[in-house]
Amino acid sequence: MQLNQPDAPPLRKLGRVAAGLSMLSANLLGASAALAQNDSDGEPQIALMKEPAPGPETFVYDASVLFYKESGSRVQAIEPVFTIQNYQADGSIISGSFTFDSLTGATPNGATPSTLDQTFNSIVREKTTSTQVTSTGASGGGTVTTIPGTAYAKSTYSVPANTLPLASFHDHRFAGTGGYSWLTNPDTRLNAGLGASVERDYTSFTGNFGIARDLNQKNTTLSLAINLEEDISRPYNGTPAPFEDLNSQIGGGHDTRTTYGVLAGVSQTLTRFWITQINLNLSGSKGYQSDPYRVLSVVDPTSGGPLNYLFENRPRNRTRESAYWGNKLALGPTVADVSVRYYHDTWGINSLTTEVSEQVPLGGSVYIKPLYRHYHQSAANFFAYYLVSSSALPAFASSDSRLSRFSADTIGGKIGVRVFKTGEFYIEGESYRQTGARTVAGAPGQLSGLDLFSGVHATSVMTGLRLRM
Amino acid sequence: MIRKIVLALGLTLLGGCAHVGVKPWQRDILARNAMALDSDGNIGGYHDHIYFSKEGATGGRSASGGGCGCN
Repeated sequence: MQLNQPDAPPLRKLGRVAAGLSMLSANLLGASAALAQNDSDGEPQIALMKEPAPGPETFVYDASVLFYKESGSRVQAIEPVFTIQNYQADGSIISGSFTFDSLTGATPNGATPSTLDQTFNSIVREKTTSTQVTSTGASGGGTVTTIPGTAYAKSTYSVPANTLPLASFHDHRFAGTGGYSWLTNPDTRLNAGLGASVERDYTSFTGNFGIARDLNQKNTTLSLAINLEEDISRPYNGTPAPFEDLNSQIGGGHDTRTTYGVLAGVSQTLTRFWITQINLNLSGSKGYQSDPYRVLSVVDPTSGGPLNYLFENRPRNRTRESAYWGNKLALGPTVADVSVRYYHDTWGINSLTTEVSEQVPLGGSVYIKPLYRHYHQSAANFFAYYLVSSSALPAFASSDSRLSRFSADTIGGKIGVRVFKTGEFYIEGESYRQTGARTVAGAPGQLSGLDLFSGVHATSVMTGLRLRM
Repeated sequence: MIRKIVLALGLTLLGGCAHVGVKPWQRDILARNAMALDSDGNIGGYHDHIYFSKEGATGGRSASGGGCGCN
């Protein structure tokens, strides 16, 4: 917070708003042409990595798009995002963002592979015709038949032997946020924000409020923020009852989840070249936390073959706490970003995340930024790849790989190029790979030889244009 | 445990805060956008969204929630 200098001179503004908006639309294709324009304009250009933080009476626009793809014909996503920030003369900041997600592909349905073909039936909410059901069901992509005398239809799809069962889906998401931040005195800043995210089967509303106080000639900033989130889940198949049989489930209405969070943080300038930050985050959520489309296989204790499939059941309460330590270090002309996060929750997941990147200038108009991130988590105490028919049902169980023990490594790099005098064109590519145990010790029969881990390998490209006016 | 560690670190840091830092005229490098703790813009949002949808842990950098049905 202390890096924002209200009295810093504003950057040179571009003359016309219309020109700026047309530049935004040029995003990808116009980058190289814009670079050429810089040289023809006689005014000095601020080196990209020496550019000051935005000052008063400045607009910052950021228009970008994410292309995301998981290997194995799983999830693909395209996500355009547009954000705007208006730094006003009195030190206040108005901000907003709009996000659109388009997702297609397939995701694990939670069942184990089998040495035989498997067939899954899922109930999807009927609209007016079965054709529409085919295009909306999260488990869509199979054969859809109406169920006479009910308001529902049944989707049936088959999975080949020795293959991780995937359910195809497609969905869209619209999300928007708005925020306002203002100074109550030169050393105290308040901020408030609202957000909403809407999918066909899920709606989320968020609100947050925070205060930040500068101390010690703005070398220290103490901050406290609270947030509230209300989620409404409306599965196509209705919310299944805990451990309800996949084939018998019809309807169930919607369910909700409420999350409260508080974050206390301190950031401290240590030297001219080093600023550090520590955050403590505590949050609690109550309500529906299961995945309404995810099942577990109930297997034979001897053969390991699937006998039936039950919907998962997770605890309705979860408390999370995390400690985050971040650093920005100017090392000569470069800037290093080094952070560590420790996380713990009441489901039994502990995780450690380390991340490092180094922003290196290549002349005044270009920089590169290689990055590496390592993540490791332990399993939730109710995680199970499968249930055994001869054993009593546990209180809770889920086969979601996100609740399993695994590690993940991200390797990537970003390139930023100065365009339009006060703009930056950027592109970042990343590889994200999860690794975990593929077999379970003592697994019955056929399961001892099958790959049960459903972690992902994803590649993503993010590109955009950031403009100041 | 985590709260005790962070509390101890925080108090230690705050205790020393009055003696470390820079003068206002020494902020040339710190005032750069590249040195801001949240300088990643939309890219940072993409990272948060991807990791939130693929991992069990979340939070730390900010107080805002996930806000989607992807996890």
